[in-house]
Amino acid sequence: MPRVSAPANPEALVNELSQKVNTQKAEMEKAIVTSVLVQLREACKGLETDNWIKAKAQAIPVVSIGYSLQDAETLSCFYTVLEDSEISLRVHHLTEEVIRINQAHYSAWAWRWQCFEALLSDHSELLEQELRFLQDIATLNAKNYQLWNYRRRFAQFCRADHAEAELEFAHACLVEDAKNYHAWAHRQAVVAMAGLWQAELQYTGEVLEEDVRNNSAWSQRFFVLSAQPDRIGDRVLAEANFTSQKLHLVPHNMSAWNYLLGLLKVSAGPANMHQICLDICRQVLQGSPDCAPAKASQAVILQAQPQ
Amino acid sequence: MIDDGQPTDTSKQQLDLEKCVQDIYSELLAVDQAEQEALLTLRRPDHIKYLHGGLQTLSSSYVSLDASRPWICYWILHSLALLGAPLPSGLTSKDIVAFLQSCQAKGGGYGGGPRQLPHLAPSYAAVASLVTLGDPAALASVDREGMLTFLESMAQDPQQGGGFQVCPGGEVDVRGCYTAMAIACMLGLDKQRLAERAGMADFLRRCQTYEGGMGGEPGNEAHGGYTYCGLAAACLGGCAHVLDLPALRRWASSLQGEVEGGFRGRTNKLVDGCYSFWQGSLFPLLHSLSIQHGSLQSDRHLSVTSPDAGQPDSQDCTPGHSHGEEHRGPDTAGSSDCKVHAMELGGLRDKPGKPPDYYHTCYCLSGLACAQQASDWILGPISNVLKSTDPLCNVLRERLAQAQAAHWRA
Repeated sequence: MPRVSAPANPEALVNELSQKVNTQKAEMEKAIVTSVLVQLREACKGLETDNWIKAKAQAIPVVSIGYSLQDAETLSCFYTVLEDSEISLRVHHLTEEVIRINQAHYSAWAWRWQCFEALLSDHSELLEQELRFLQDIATLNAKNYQLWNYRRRFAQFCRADHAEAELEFAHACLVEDAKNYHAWAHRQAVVAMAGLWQAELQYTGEVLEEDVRNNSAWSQRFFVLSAQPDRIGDRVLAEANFTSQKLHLVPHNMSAWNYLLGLLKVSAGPANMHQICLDICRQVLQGSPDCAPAKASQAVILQAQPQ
Repeated sequence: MIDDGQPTDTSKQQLDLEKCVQDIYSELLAVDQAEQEALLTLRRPDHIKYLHGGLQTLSSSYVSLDASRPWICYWILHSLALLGAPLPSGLTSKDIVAFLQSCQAKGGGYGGGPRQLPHLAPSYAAVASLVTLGDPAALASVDREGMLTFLESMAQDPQQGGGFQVCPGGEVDVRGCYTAMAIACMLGLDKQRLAERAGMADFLRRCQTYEGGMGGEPGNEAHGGYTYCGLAAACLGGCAHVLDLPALRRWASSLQGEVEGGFRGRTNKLVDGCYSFWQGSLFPLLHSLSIQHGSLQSDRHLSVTSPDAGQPDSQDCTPGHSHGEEHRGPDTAGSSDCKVHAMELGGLRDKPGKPPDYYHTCYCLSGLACAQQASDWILGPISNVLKSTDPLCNVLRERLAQAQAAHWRA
């Protein structure tokens, strides 16, 4: 019997083999899913609810969208299982197909969550699958209410361990569009859940380095500031200094002026806040005497000053 | 915009847009009055053709709106109504009512299409469409009791934060509050009770930001669309007093583009035609509120015609007053609507360079209508006049009055 010698690079071999296994596993999963969906479609073809018959019989189309026959069948299939309130792996898979046809299909997202919650304890692989699915979908359209709502539910379900991944995801969306409303709102929900206030303040500082006029980043700073009650006086002062620096750099920046006036409204701020703000206005006007927002802010501060 | 020699993405985009709009306005100012009138004429036949086209069949590229079909219906019907235009031949009110019926869920509320789960947004759009159609059969087709049940089930426990969820498992934000209140208003349901059930006053108060505008949820950035939803919901729910109205007005004024004339949705973002309505309608609403609370004297007789007399709707509005300190006037927003936002081939758009769509057509026209009402003046030829829209529900005033009258009779 010839001796089998040890492989030259065992680690590389293990990696290669495990990659092959994963690919085969993914392909097997896909094959199972495909065959399940084919079976489901066949089953649905036989089932026609009254409404579906009536809808098909309606002669006059109204805001009727001309999607493909295959898409129409997938959607019809979904409505049938929805009406049946079926919760199963095959329906969970089906919702992915529906969402790929129309990412704003809130009924599919809602039902997908029902399936996920109900099946997770018996099918732990759903967690990983869900993450992959969410990653895929976001690359298609990052301004979709349903996607972000689902991600928030997912984040709340996974709790603090998952927070960094969610912030990373939101950041990736902000790289594409630095003012994506949903992404900033998502960060608020995740930061609040996981208590990552300091890191978020730092993050907004980085975004403002890129574009000091990014109002969403300024707004986020205020969110962080007002969320915690401790040492408000000191923190408002620090923010006033921060704002002052930014205004010296770019005096005509409405975001910064709005922020400064916002700081003035914080009830537990430093006692001499009005004077601090007036000084900032005066200093900016020294460098830029025609700065209209500086003058306007001065007027607002003077009006707001306690007599 | 003055960029202080420190260009960023924000300032570059703003300056590009200012140049583009300035060129359009310069063209306008360079020609004689007759030519100007022609350039400022709202191209009704083109817009009507565009709108008619969408009401029946749409290409597969619209599949992303397959869960928003009542919205497409509303955007088109309301636009046609503002233009005083009829339905396309071959389509009757009955056909449209039948379609909306098929979207009505068994337990009440409407989904984005047949067999979909009920959701507040398509529910608003469906009800507004039916009110716009206005005939008795259309109004009678709504399951009012079912809708009330649905609205109540969407109200969130005030102990858990309050507000309205848009659908089971869906997001909770000011759109939920607005759509719930507007639906209740159009159907003659008890708005106050619903608002209390959802702790709506406090939810709205917490949505107002340091800038004076309102965000989608407490803590979110001040945004025109959400501010409209928030203020309108507050007016409808009788709790506008919880908001800092002077701050709201200052913020809204500051969002009108000094060069463009139109409105932006957020500080340091670009103007967009749809904000002509979301932001532009805030002024008539604020004006009504200030009259209601006696802080603004009016020399016009206020005719009280509905039991909703306490509510600031456009029936209480006295046009012709200037609003707010920095607000440059609704007429400048109006000219931007006519020239900057109207397309060559029909339909209106976000801004030059963007294609038209039904959403922007609806809200550009709605903004223009509000501007005409508020300033009591028509920019361009008199044929540009649009029908009056109620700024709270954004349906024609006359149709809203009709719908509300039908409820008292029932």
